[in-house]
Amino acid sequence: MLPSETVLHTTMRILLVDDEAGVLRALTRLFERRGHEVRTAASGEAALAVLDTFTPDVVVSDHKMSGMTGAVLLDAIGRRLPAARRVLLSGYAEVEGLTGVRFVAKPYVAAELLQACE
Amino acid sequence: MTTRAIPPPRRLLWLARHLMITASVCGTLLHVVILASMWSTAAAPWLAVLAVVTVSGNIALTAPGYRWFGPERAEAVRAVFNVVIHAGLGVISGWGQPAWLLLPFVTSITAAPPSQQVWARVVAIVIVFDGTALATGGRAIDAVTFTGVSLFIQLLLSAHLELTTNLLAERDRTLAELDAAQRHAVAQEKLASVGQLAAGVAHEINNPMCFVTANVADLLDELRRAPALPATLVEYRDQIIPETVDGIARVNAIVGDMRRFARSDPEPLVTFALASEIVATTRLARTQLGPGQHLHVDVDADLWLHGSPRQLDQALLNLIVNAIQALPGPGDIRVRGRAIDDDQLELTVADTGTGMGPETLARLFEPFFTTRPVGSGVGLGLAVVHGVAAAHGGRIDVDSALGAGSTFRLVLPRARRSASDGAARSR
Repeated sequence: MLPSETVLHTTMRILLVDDEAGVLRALTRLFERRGHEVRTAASGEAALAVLDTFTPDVVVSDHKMSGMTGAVLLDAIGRRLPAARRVLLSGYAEVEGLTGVRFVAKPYVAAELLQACE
Repeated sequence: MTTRAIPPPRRLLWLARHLMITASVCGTLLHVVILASMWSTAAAPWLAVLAVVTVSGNIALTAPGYRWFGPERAEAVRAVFNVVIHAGLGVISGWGQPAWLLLPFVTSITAAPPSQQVWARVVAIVIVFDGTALATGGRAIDAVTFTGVSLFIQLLLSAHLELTTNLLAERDRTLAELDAAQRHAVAQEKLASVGQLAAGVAHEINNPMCFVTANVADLLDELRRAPALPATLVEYRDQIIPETVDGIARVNAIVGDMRRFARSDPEPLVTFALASEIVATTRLARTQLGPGQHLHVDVDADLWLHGSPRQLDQALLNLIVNAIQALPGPGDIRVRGRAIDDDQLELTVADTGTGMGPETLARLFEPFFTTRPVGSGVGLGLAVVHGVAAAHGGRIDVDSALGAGSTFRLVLPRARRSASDGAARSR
């Protein structure tokens, strides 16, 4: 295994989106402790603004948020950054026509969420 | 059920009163006519006596007679009385046509709703009357004519009464159906509003629980990783925080059930075979059976559903666990899946357990309604089943009585088998 590949796998740029500050902090802790670079946004609109200065490898978003829903956000990100892995946190929501998105139930189990982001 | 008492219409009371008056006047008039037509003969005094006896006897047998004998027997006595008197009158008056007119008159006032008894009475009156007439010089043509008129009147009355009785029965049935439909609608509305409440509460609890769960799990990780802990924190690491994690898991499970009841989580829908789901779920449920308890499964092959297999499994598991808990000791649980018709299938879970009384049945599907002791179930099991049934476009009903076991019946729309779905989902 080449060193560059190892680096790619171990440190990812992750964008976390949730309107609940406590959830954002818990998620940030989860990923930062594993050495990932994390940015957060408290809404879908704010997350799209972050994309101007930050290109994430992974986007983890809550679904039910005031304003733009997580599904709409991930759909938009999918078109802007086709390579980004997208994870929708929240229930078991399946949204029509939303492909290439992984679903993780909320409250999440850390191992399950980490696996979905790999 | 509340049946509104409908007062008898004024027209009906008017008719009843005038029927009584007309019957009395006509009866009396017939006697007067017969008496007048034979005024100069030797029979006149006898006819006068019979007229008085008839009128006073009929009056005595109506109101006071009903009190003494009861309506049924009073009418029987009156029929015998009238046929004897009037046959006698016919004999004395020599069977003129006014005397024959008494035949339809007597048969038509046999009262009471039409029954075999009333018909037997009418036939007996006709036989006695005709027999006496033909034996004592009455004309056969009169016997045939007036018997025909009597039967015609009786049939007419019977037809009208039968029609009225049927209409009333139909009205009662319609009212009962309306009442049942209304109750059902009210119950559904109640469950729907409770469902909205549950969804709202579940969502609000779920958000903070999300980071509470994560934070406490992280804390436990940190404690387990720490090389040297003070004695007080050792207790937290080994006992207090693990217990807290269990408690949090329980809260999350309850919130999850509330969301399933409220159907706030749409899921990917697939077409799947009922039989394979039932087999998987019953395998899981069998582990909970006690000694002498048996679970029988009988599912028709080639039944397909469109929906969420995970939710259906949950609903079926809840029903089976309830059935097991309804068994006080040894007993049987039968799970049966079969087609009702081309569009619907039913899934029944029947137990031979304790059954349920009306009060329990009325509140069965309400969330947080439970008959179990505090701490052994929060009362969401059947609420979840109800939610799953509704989400699949089906319904659930229950048949139960105390001591007679319970049968829960899920009625669900059948799906057409699609090859791709069937292949995509295999267990």
